[in-house]
Amino acid sequence: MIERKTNLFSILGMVFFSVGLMLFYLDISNSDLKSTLLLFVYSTDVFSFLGTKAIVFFSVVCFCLAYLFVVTVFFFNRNSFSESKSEDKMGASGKKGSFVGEHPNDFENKEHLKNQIEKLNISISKARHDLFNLMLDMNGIHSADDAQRSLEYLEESASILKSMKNLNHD
Amino acid sequence: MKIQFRRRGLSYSLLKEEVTRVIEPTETEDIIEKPFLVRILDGLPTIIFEPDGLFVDNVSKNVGPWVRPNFLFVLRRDGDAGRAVFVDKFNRSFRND
Repeated sequence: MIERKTNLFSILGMVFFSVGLMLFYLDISNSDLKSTLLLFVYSTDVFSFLGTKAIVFFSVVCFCLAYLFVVTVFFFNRNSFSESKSEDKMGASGKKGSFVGEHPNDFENKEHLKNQIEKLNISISKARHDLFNLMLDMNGIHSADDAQRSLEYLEESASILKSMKNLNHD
Repeated sequence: MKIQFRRRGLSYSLLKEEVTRVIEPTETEDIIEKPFLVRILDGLPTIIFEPDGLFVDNVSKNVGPWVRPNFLFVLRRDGDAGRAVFVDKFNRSFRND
């Protein structure tokens, strides 16, 4: 609807601008058309008070109307742009789960993400702990187990990160 | 290289070579407030004590109230029994001498 109005107003603006330009050109030129128009103006009682300035007057009126239509088109465009921007914003935030009340799925996603972060934190801490033990005693009786466990926790952390990435893409 | 750690408000440092393992007390049996504890760690009888026992200078210093330790530093064996100290928190990056 807004698009149709915008198109209509822009066409009207262009038409009035063209007519205003044409009338202005007629006024400064000494063509036969100008004298014909002046005769028409003098013959009608309504515009007779304008006299020889009639053509300039109509030209100015056309320019003013064209300007008004352009301003209207500008406001329509601005409103539609802000509307589409707000829709985009809602869409993006809905994906991230900011509006919890409006999107129940996003709330679940947020909770799931929180759990994943906690799990990631735990597995990274355990991996760090085992690696630290390995650094303390490289040739101890627990070294092989520490290395194995640390690697397993790192693998688990990587898989959690992958699942978090997939969650963000959904 | 040394490991820095804190226990009951005091900070200590031990040589990295002295510490063989860091464990969390949940893995062991009950830890209670005693001058020292004897527990079986990794199949070995281990004496667990406050770190101020390692440093003669610190014995007379006032330390904070007893708190349950977050970690135990298992020290290198020196004799038949193993040794371990209580640790509240420690710095995982080693400090050069």
